[in-house]
Amino acid sequence: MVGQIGHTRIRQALYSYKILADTSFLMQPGFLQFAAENGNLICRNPILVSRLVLNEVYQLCKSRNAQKQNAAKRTLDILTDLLRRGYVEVRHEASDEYADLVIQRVVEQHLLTHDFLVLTNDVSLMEDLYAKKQKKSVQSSRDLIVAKLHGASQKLEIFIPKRTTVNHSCKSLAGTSSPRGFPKPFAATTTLSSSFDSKLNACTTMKSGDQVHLSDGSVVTLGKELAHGGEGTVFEITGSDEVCKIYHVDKLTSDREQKVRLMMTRKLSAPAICWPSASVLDKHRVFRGYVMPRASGKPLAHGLFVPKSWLEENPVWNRQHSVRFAINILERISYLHRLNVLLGDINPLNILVKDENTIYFVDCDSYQIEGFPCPVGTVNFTAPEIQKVDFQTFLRAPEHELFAVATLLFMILMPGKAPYSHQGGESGYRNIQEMHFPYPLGGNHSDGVPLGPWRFCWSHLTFGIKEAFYKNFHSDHRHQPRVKLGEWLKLLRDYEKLLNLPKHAYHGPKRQIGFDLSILPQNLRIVAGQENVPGDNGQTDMGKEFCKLRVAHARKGSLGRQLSTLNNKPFVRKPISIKSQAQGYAHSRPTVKRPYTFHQNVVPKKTSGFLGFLKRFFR
Amino acid sequence: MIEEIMQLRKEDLLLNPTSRVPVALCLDVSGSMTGNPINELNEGICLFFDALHGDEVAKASVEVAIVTFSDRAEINLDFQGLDRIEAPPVLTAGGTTDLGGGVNRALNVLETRKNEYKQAGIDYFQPWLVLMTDGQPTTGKHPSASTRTLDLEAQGKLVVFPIGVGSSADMNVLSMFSKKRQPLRLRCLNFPEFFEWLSKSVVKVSHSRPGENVQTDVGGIKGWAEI
Repeated sequence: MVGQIGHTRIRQALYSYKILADTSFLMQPGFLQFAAENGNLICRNPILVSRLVLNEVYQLCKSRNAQKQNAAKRTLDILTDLLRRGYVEVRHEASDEYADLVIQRVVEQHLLTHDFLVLTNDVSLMEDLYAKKQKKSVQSSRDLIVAKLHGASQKLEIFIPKRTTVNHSCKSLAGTSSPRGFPKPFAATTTLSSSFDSKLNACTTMKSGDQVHLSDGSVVTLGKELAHGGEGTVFEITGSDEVCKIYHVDKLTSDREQKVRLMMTRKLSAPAICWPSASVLDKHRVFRGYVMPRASGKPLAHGLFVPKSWLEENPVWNRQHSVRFAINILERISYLHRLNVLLGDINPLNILVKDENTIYFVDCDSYQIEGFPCPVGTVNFTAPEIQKVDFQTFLRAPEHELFAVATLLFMILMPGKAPYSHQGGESGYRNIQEMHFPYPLGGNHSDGVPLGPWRFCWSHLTFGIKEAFYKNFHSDHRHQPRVKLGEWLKLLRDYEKLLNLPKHAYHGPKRQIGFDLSILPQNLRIVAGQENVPGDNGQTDMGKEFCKLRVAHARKGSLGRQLSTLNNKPFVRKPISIKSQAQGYAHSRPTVKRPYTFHQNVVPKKTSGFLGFLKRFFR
Repeated sequence: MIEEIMQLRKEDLLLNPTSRVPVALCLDVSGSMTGNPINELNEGICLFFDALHGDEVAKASVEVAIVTFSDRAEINLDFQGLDRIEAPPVLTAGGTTDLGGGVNRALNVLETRKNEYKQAGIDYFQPWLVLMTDGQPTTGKHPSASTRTLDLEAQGKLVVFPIGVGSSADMNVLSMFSKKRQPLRLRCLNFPEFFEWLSKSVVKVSHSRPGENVQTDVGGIKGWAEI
């Protein structure tokens, strides 16, 4: 079991830590096997090797000891191959003189900002490194793992120093002291829960009207069913403001029960987080679900991320609302991080929005807490280094979460547009892997920015915010640390201040100096001194954008019908009498909400289309 | 008027950030579909559109084109934002069965739309082709159309649902259009149930992200079709 935990920890380190290796490790017979087994990880996060180490191996190739010579030649062959594949990268600084000292120096220099995995079979180096770690750990929350290839089995194992005690779970998101009234943070664990997951013995499905027991001893009745999902059903609790989630019988496991019980040990003071307050038991006292605050509002995915409909429903919503909304979300995420909780599956279906200040985080039982992983995730919010990895098999690192946070912020400020959507793009997964981020920054050219309002949205962000997105998404910054929550908060608060100053912000759609408060601006941002754009004949940038797009002519056949739609002649449907449920749908048709009905109010030619649309919302 | 339509098509493309799921319905409207079959088919299509309208994400994400074939192939509804469509076109039956022509036309429409997505920088899911026929092709175009379809399917660029309607549908011909999915025969004109299943599946896809693996519920299929 210990081996299993160590294995998970090493794999996690191989995802995201800086990996250093010395000659003693590379010369081990098991090195090739190690590289082969972990190729999928180190291809994205290469092993860093000093040039002095390569020199050492090269010198060993000339050794008189035949055994050493052969081992060195073999290592050199492997290294050459790995270098070509990009699994290994060579680093060198002019001041490096002795190979033995390079690793120590690098670790000492960067332990405050990076996590390290050092691969070495040199016992004295291991001891030295741990001693350094102990000294530094007072200031650093960073992790250091030293691992070697075991002498006989040649399996990778974490080195544990004799006599000194090292706290392996020293990596922590929380500060050293917790503020008054703040719940005690959860343990910062880096090892997956090793408990034996078993199914719970429940057979009957719960329905409204059923009585259930709560962990506080009370008995309540399940009210109306509110929502039904893949994992369970949410019910009202009769006579209560709270609701409860009852897991489907086949989803009930001891792990879920333990996780919910662990979550209940902390009472959260942030009301918007739908955190378990009590567990729900059936009459046989079998765990069935939990009680949580009631959420309301619309999932972000159905709201702001479909901006056209969102503006129709919330015509006053502007950039100031979006920024305030983003700050509110960040503050909640940061609150959870201080508790050592990672959200894991950040996605726009798990955030309900009533207005920019009333937000609910739902599906909290999927959060990563101590050794319990967040078992789910979606492609768009998953960092490139953990794409296509089974979320149940490892614990996410804060770096992974920061990628998801950046994606969420991007999609709030560029309403609904994913950061990697670009012209000629492929699947979301491919785009993320390639880190093809199309938007420009300063002197850097853009590369396939999507047509439409997106380039204007981008231009109306501050340079600081653009730079932060760039650091998170652009391939130039692969393997570099992502922007922290605190930095994001500062950037967004500064932006909010600017937007509140009349001289910096205006209401579109006319071209003006400053930030357009519309969430879908029609022009590039104009800064003072650049007011006069040559060739500007009153057309908006958006208008020019429309001209760029070559759409296919509405084709024969469909054309007539589309024309008849515009001429306010809806299609005539023959009455059909059949007994199927289709009839029910057919009759319900007129009640289906159709907000975007051009054919009903035939618009004058010039103001139809995008202009007409904007006029309705911005005037 | 044409400019007006072009303008609307551009707006649909540019203003909507949601990842798209293009679905082409390629439908047999030959003479043998006259009467009850075509009525049921029309009802099924209405149900499909209603179901999609009922889901906010699907409404922004799913785009539907309808290509029919009888003596010749015709585009009855071209791709556009779903919320523009007040009611789907009513199909009428008559003529022969140019199945190959229909499939080619549907593939062309999909290809055009995909290029529009790419040009605009819009993410999209693998397009869907739903092919329905109740008889045998009367032209010889279907082998080449089948090659084209299978190529796209093999490259993971198309999801094909071949559907036989009633007892005289030629299942051998339908099986030429997919290596991954066996053709299904609709039991007693169960169009509404089929389209209900189709809408559920496509809604499921629209809630995921491009590149994610979505399991379509084939168990649901078995209820209304027999393999």
